[in-house]
Amino acid sequence: MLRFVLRRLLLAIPVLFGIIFVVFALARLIPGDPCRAQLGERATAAVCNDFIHRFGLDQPIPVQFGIYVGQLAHGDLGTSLKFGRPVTDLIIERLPVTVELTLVALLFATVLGILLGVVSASRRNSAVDVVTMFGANIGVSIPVFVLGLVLAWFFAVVLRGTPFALPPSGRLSSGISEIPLTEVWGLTGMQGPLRVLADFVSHMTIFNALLTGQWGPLGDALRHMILPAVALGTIPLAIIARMTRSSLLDVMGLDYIRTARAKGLTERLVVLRHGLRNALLPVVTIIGLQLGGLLSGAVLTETIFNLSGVGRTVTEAITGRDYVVIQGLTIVIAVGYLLINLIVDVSYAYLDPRIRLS
Amino acid sequence: MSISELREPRRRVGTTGERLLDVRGLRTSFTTRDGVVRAVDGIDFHVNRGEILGLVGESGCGKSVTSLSILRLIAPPGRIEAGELIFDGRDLLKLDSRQMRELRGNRISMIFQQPTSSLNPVFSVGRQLEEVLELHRNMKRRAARDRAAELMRMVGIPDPVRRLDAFPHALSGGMAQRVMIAMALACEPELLIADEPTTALDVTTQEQIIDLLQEMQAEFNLSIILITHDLGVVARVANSILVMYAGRPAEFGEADDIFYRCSHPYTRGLLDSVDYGAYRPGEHLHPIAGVPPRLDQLPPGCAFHPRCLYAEPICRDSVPEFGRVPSGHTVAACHPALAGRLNLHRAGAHASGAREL
Ligand SMILES: Nc1ncnc2c1ncn2[C@@H]1O[C@H](COP(=O)(O)OP(=O)(O)OP(=O)(O)O)[C@@H](O)[C@H]1O
Ligand code: SF4
Ligand SMILES: [Mg+2]
Repeated sequence: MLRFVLRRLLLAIPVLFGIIFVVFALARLIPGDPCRAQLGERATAAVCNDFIHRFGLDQPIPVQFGIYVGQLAHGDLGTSLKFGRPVTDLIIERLPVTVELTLVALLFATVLGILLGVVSASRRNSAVDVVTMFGANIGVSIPVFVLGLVLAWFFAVVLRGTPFALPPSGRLSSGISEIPLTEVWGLTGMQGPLRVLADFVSHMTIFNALLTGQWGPLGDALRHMILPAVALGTIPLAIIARMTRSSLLDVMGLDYIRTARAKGLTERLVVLRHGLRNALLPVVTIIGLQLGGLLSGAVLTETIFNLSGVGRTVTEAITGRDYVVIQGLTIVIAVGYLLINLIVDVSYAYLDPRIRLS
Repeated sequence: MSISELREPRRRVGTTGERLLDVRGLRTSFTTRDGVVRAVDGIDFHVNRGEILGLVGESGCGKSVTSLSILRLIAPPGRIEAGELIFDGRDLLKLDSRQMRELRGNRISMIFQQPTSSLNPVFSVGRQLEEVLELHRNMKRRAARDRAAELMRMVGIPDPVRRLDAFPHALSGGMAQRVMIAMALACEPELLIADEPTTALDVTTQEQIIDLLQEMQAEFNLSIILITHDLGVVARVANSILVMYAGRPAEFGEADDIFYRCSHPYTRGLLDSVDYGAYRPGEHLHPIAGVPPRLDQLPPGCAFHPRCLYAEPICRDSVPEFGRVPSGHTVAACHPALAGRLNLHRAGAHASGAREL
């Protein structure tokens, strides 16, 4: 298993370099001179000469690539013009919001989706099955922004004042704040990658509250997360439920299921132990594919629910022609995809020995 | 090779042997879009302790449905409509589902035609063996593993301890079937149902598996229902034989009687259509002309009549009963045989039968 993971990691390295190269090349392809593309049209010649020299833009292209990779290796993604801050800082602050939103949405979609799929499959053609699959067919066809707006309207406007009302925007109610875990654990003096990680986690409101035992803010953070996570998770939920159902039904007709029954196992064990594990193989692939969709969904969700995550930052960077930010985010998102694919492959190998051992 | 060369003299068995399983009037049907298909329509036979019953018949005649019915593993849209399955004095059809589960894999177990796909690909073979021991013998993981290795050795798997961690895809068909047999015998069952256990294997492996089954039968005083297309195998190992045609029993009797004194034209046809062993020049085989009918379009009367060389007018009109023939050798479902008007004892009789009548 470990060897499998290492091999996959090694395979990811050339892909990573490919991505970096494409991003690098795209930056050079931007029409006009690189200085004005980055600093804006009003930059003076003197400023530009200085800029070109400082960033090695007068060097040969291979050298420039080397410099770029070197900067990346130091975690330097450049400085945003629009926000006037290092892109790395921006990412450490905003990526956690997106990661958290995606994780919660995915957790919601996966757990509920598999559960509904299993229930539907084991009670095929029952009322539960018909209703679930009808719901799933509607679920896949509702655009994220429509569902988001409807949810926000219903839970924040219609139910306002009732115990069922839910907040439609932001991460925490005004007046409630969280102490970042870096402060709780006294890590403010720490430097280096571990500090980056700590900062990253402390920006995930739910995790930060959970890890440091701030129960009040935790409840508030969870309540804020419900609507965006449901809006974002509904399409994958519907897809996962349908996939689990059909995959499980296929598997339940196979020879080894007959063997499991002939052994005298209860139907519950036959389904959960012998059926589900095999049925989940295609579902895992689907979940991996859905993650890509979640990221684009996150852009809309973050806008609707006023969350300052990567999705919204990308939108802002594109409208503001902030190339440095776009480049940095492209690399981060691409690395994210690589990681997700790795996780999918590893879970696949965990579930299926034929892959693990080949 | 002739039948007599294959059949070694064996002790006579008969009604004196203790009945382990008595199947009476079993009827299993499937509801399909085109209506109800009676896959098994009134089957009677029995298996004695420590004996091998050969179950033969052309493809689609209901052999697998019969065997799955015995374990009550017929899944919807299939349904056991009627009958009694008396196993060791109790009617299996009257047991509740928990009692039935306690028997499966424990006192009655089953192996299948496709050994590799009958094992779950995501669990090691050891795990799958341990599972049945943990289930019926309440063994702990450790003890179950030791016992699993022992069972693997017993069925002739080399290096069993290492093989416990192998996954099914890494095993050959023959090895996988040995694992299936080990799993089926783990709880020392009284009855083993083997549904074409060798069909998917190559010839040498087929023989080894049949030898193994015979060995296990002797060792555990096991009863086996052996479903096969291979009459040569049946000739070699079976004590009694049930011949099925289109969901109904054609003939049932002791193996010697079926092979030397059969009373049903279909049995005769089957015997004449096979070459027991190697091909011998000059010997002609007489495959039964025509194909079995579709179960949802059975001809009226005796379902075999369109293909039968002995068919009489009555065969078209009424379904023959399944009863003892006057000679007393076998139980058969055939009008002229029941009336004592048929003599099929000679090989080739079926092919030349029309002229003899
Ligand atoms: N799930 C099912 N749905 C509908 N009909 C079925 C089903 N299973 C079996 N049957 C019917 O039962 C008949 C007998 O099937 P069965 O599998 O018992 O044949 P068999 O004698 O084992 O044949 P083979 O030698 O090919 O294994 C089939 O012809 C088919 O019409
Ligand atoms: S009943 Fe008639 S048709 Fe059927 S097997 Fe006997 S002779 Fe042939
Ligand atoms: Mg069959």
